[in-house]
Amino acid sequence: MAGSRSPFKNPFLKGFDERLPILRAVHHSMTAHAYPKNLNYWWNFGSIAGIMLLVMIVTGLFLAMHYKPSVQEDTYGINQAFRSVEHIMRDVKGGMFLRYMHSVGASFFFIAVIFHMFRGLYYGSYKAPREVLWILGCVILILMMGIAFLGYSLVWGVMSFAAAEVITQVFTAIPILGDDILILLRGGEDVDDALLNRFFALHFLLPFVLAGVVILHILTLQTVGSNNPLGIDLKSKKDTVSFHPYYTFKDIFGLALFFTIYLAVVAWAPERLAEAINNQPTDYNLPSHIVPEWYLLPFYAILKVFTWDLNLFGLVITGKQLGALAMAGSLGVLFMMPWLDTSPVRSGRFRPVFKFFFWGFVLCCLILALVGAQTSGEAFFIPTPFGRLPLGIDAGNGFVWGSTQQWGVLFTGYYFAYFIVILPVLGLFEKPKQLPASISEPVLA
Amino acid sequence: MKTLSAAAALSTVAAAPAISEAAGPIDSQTWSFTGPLGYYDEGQLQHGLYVYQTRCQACHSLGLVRFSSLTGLDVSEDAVKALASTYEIPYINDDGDRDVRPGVLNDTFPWALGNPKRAIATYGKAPPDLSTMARSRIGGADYVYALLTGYDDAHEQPEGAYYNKVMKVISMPNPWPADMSDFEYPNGTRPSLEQQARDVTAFLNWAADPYLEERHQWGIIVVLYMLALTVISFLAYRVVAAKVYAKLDAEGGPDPEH
Amino acid sequence: MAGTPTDVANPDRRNFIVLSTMAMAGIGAASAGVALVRTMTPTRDVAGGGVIEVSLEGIAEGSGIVASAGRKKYSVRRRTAAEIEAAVAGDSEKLRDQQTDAERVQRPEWLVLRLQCPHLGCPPQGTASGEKRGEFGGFFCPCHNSQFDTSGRIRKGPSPANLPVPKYFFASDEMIVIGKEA
Repeated sequence: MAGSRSPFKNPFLKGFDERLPILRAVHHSMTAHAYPKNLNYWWNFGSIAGIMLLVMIVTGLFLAMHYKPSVQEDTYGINQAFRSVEHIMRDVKGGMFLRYMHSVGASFFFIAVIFHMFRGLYYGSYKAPREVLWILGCVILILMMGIAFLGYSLVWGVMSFAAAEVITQVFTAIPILGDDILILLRGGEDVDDALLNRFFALHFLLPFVLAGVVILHILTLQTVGSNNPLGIDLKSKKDTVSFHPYYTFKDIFGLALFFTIYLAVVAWAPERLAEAINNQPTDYNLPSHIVPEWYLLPFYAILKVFTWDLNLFGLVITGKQLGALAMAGSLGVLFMMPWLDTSPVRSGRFRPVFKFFFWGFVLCCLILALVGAQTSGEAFFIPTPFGRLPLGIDAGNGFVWGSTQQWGVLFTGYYFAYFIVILPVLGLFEKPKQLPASISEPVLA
Repeated sequence: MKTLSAAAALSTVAAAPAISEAAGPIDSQTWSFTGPLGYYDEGQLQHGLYVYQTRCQACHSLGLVRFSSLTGLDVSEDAVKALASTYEIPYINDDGDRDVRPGVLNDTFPWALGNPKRAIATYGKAPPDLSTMARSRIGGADYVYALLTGYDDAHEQPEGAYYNKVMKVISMPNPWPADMSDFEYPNGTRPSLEQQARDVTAFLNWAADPYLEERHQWGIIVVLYMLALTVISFLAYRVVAAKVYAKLDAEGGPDPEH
Repeated sequence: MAGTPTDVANPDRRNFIVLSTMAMAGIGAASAGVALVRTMTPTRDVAGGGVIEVSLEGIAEGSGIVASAGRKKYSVRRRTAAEIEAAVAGDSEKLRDQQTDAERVQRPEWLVLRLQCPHLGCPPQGTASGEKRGEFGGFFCPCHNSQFDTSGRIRKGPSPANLPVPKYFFASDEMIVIGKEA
């Protein structure tokens, strides 16, 4: 790239670019790379996610100018961390918007990334040669989940404490070293000031690590090229278009629409996606109903539904360990996608049987989210605008038919079956629809 | 909280209701501040402040609310200064002794009970700070109103506590005296229990969300602007697309082998 | 979707739409930037916190008090007749920072100064009885020996300017408000 000539006419730009060729790299990727011309709106979510990361870093930086990570309590019994968040909401000029842009922004960042990933799962964007691209995306997802968890704890409200307490406890599932690792993580035996301070340090740092991984993700994309809704490779110049100006303006439109909804929520329903109880400073007791933020619910469900111990020829795996392994496994299995799906066809558009199981997987994730939000021992229900739709009955003698836990186990089973059984087997036996010859010739070959 | 088992924490076989959730259904109330066009009725907020002072202040603090913010209730700064000076703010004087001084604009409402330890010593449990109460419970203002009007002295009272329709077992005693026929607002009106509960709930909602009106107004401006931007950016996209397609039909795009 | 022409065929109208989009997006980004910088301005709990009310009751002639507002220190001194005379006499002298006493006080009896030496910022002594006043009977900065007269003007030493006179006004005969104008 640096060997090519600088495309700039302006002498200042040209001179700078000849000494540090980053401008021509950007120019090259916007105009010289071949993009498929048939990308649909599901492809907008990548750029939306990138902009949301920028929004989160900027709002986070300005929040950090006022936030105080200390558990010290004043005469009202309110800890400094919580008070500093309220200081931002009440005393900092524009602070209320700053705080809500950040908290609602986290949810919208996840919305964008979730749509982005499901696009990848449906259209086979993880298949060769895009394995590294997909794996970097999985790394991004895990970093996001960690960063979100850390940030939520910083408020030091009732649920912040619960999150820190429960999630650090999960590490005790590690055999032999578990308890020592817990003390190392917390900087002590309890969730206290030491933990809060290091959570703040990590929450500030990791988004920049994330940005680095995003840059790698984009570089990989530019090397392997973008997938497209048909899932077939680019054959000739007739199939391609440069990113600029076509996708630049399509992305601007997508961003504008996304931001309209995002800002509407910030203005009119900023607490809707949040847990009310976290608006109360923690008294270091766990609330009776512990729920994480909505985007962590399916993984939380998988963690909590394993309550029985497993005895394997004398080796006992406790319920806690099973839950931790399952949760790690539910993320680990995503990394394996390029090798689990055996179908020679990329796009779900040409795979009728796959489509059925894919939408089953989408439903599975939604059900698991509900499982994560509800109490394990109670009857499971679907919340609707018209009231609760019960999917379980309390038999009265202590046993519940269709409890949250039971539904959780069933759909955790489907979750793993989808990756470990369905996708590998399906690819071998499915008869896909005929693929078109190329993007520009939709007529069958 | 040393070695609490994660499994115990996670697999709750729940009989007790969630702390932020009511034990029974809560009626939906009409408030001036709900919805995207919600606003505060400053007169109601002033009455609510009065109810807070007469019925709640003896036990509950508003530790995040500064006196200066009360100008949002359409009260002049001088009136707020006068109100602030009626409160005693604890501080350490120049002799190094604990002392009290009259409140100034920048002070937060002091806690009558002084500190959590004294609160627990007096009542066994510290009455919670009310600054964010209206957004700490599912149902928000509806919950607060339901709780305040949920007392039933005729009902069987649980051991060492009180009965309330919303929480079933509540440590807070009924704040409403049996005879309120003499109670008057500063403007002379005689409010019923429900009216007082309504006014103080509105005030607590303001205490939890003082900039609600600004946020709603900002929302209107911003969302209208964003809708306009969405429309015009869509048109720009179609304009650009047409140019691009025309060029593509003739020449095609970049070489995929690149 | 591919190949569909748009109904906007006029190139000028096309450019206008594109330019308007970029302009609107730019305005949006700029207002977001302004709002962000605004979060860095003094917060509502300290805004106007530099104002302090000082009671003049109980300050005897020839003595004074030091009043603090945040990190700012002010000197409120009730001058004796001799000090006022000396200050007025200094008007005609050649001073490094030429000011008359009348320019520096609202009422001759009361000298209100910011206790920050213009040299490097130390708080000079000389307000209360018993403090060092220096050669000119006014204020003395212990850090580098700047000496100020009974009007707070620099007479000797490294300070380039007189002790600053803050904004203040007499709310009544017994009360001054320092930090803002009447």
